Amino acid sequence: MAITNDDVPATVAERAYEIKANTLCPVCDGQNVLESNAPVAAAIRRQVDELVEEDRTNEEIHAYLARQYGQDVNAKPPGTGISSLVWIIPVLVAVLAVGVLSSSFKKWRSGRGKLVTEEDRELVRKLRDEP
Amino acid sequence: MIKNIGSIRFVAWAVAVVMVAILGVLAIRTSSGEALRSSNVIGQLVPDISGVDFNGDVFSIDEHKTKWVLVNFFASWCVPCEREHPELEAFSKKHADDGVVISVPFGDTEKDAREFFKRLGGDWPVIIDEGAQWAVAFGVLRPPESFLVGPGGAVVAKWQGEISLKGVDEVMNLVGRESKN
Repeated sequence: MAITNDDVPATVAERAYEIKANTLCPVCDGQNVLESNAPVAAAIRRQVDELVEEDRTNEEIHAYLARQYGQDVNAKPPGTGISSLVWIIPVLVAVLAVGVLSSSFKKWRSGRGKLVTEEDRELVRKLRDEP
Repeated sequence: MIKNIGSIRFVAWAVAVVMVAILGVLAIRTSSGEALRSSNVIGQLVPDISGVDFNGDVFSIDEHKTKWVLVNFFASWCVPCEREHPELEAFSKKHADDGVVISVPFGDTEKDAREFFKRLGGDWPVIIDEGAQWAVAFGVLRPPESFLVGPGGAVVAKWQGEISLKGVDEVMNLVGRESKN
């Protein structure tokens, strides 16, 4: 049986890195705690290292940081509760957009190649002849 | 042409409805700013703060369970921290019998924190937060941040920014009155 990279469990350092990469600095603008020099980012990095050494799971660590600093600290919003709308709404918008566009395309296509009627010609003549 | 206008109106309404829905979700979602002001540590038992302070004495917050404890996160480079230092000194003197201040350097080196106290004075315990466990346990964002722990060990108040003796006393009086009722 071939062993791939997916089968090898992440090292402590890899796990800590992944958690930090997915934790946003609470006082920065969109930076994760790996990128930020803010003292609170440094504090979170140190705590993540300790908690990973203590064998806490990724979910436990993310949940703890969210309790301390708010849900916004997680770069990936949870899939439950009101925050799940972050995942649902884009999908709904995409489905709605595709539906509206395909319906519009159908209408535009059915409108193409229509023959000009005698009424249309009469209308154009009237408009041309008007002073 | 009238049919095209109808399609455009339909698309415009659909976009408007979706945008209002998104705005509605954003409006009812608790912002991280609100969560911080309420602070999830208030009402909880104080995290266990213990260690050797700058004077070489062993400090354990457990030993001060019957007192008011003012936990102050500071940094030597923090200007409001320097401004509030006399207020902490005043608190320490006024509440020598029923209270204690404990200062914890945040985002600072031990050397600079020691220099800070050498320059400004203050004989209360200053303890290094190894691994930043207390800073994260309290949810500290930036110094100065202070937390008042009541007798019994529950965190009763949090201040973001410099504090005053008057402000802390007001909270202590309020909490003291409420606990009697």
